Amino acid sequence: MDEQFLIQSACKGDLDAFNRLVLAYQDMAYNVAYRMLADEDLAEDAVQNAFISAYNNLSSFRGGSFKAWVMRMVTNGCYDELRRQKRRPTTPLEPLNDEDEETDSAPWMASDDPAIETTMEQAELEHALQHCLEQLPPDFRAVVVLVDVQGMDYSEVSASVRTPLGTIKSRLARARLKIRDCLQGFQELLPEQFRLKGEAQE
Amino acid sequence: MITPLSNKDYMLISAYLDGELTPSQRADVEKHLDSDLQFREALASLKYTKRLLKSLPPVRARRNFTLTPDKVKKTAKPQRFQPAWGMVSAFSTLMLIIVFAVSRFAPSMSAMPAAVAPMAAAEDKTTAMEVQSAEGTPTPMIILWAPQRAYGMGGGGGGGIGGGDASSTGLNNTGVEAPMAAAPNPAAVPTLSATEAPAPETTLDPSTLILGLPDATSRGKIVNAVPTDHFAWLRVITGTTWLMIASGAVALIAALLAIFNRRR
Repeated sequence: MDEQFLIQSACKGDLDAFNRLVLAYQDMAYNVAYRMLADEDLAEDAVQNAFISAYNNLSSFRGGSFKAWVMRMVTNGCYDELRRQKRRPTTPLEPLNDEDEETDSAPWMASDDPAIETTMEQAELEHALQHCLEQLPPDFRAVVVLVDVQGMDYSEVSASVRTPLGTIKSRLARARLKIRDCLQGFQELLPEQFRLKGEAQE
Repeated sequence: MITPLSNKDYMLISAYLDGELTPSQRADVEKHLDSDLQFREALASLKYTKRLLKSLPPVRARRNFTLTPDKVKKTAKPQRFQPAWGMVSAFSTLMLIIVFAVSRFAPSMSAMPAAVAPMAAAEDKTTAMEVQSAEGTPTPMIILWAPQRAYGMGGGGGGGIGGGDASSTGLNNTGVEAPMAAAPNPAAVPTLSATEAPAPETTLDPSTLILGLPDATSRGKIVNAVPTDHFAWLRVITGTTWLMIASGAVALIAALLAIFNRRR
């Protein structure tokens, strides 16, 4: 796929060309939005709005990394949603059982089947990581998701969140430290060598 | 005593982990890693955190996000100046409030231009007369009563100086003889001979008063002192009021534009 050609065609109003770009980046965009918002529906809305916004503002794309430019649209949409949530906080619902009664934990957490133990541990670890990500301020969360989850380099992230490189380095280091410390609350999920004795509690 | 690592140390270790340091910074960090256990522990813990985050399974989108012409059309491009209208409206409203507050609570400021204007007008006229006198022209003394309300209304107010009020005392400042001497004795007015007064123009200007005898045709007539000027109210409105009107109008128009564009 010649990305530059597709971008030029899309700039001239070729929606099919733009849709090919959408297909190339939609999984990444959705993954970033999901890790930022921790909600599938909200992530879908954010991604859809980001692509519409990208198409409408394609003329403002001045070259460089198209991926970083699209991710900027996505992170901006996520910031908007997080701000909206902050203004109108909602109460999360507890999982329901078969009788539509609230349970303390999801069914998969109550299972005793040893065959799925590993899967459960992985799922719990993922839950713990997602929980720790949610504890981060949105600016820190965006940086750590883009660098550590999506594997983008610093310069791309700098372009995505429109922040100087030095700030990216600082935010990333602090975000990693916060996640490391947060994970100490889930020590049973971590391997022995990762359980900090005193450093995290300092 | 072990000094805990600073935020800068963690930042260097974190960037070292990602290979985002300059060669000199990298050499510096590696030197610390060789000698400092804290550095090594911090690097290990951050490395593991990074690995855990990297291990998060990618979440696949449940649907495609490709656009259709309808989707693009539905969300019309926002107006370029849309954010500006709200700002303009807010700024104009703020200005209206400030101007109103100033005119309400500091009335001397807003009244000042209105008080100065008649003084300045009178001063100009007297200065012109003085210039004429200095040239030796035998110009008779004309006493001007600038405020219109003094003419033909039997005077009143203003400390009883025969018409006009305190605001008319600007004449005193000009050095022109005040009517104080003549006014207490109304009978003295007719004693002025017709020759002392300038030959009055055929039309009487109600804005000025010449103490003297009117000409034969005007004698005994009641002159309408209040001119029938349909736009007189416009002159009554001060600059402050105009400013408030303008601010209010701009605020209203900008707010309507903001609402209209948002609905679109």
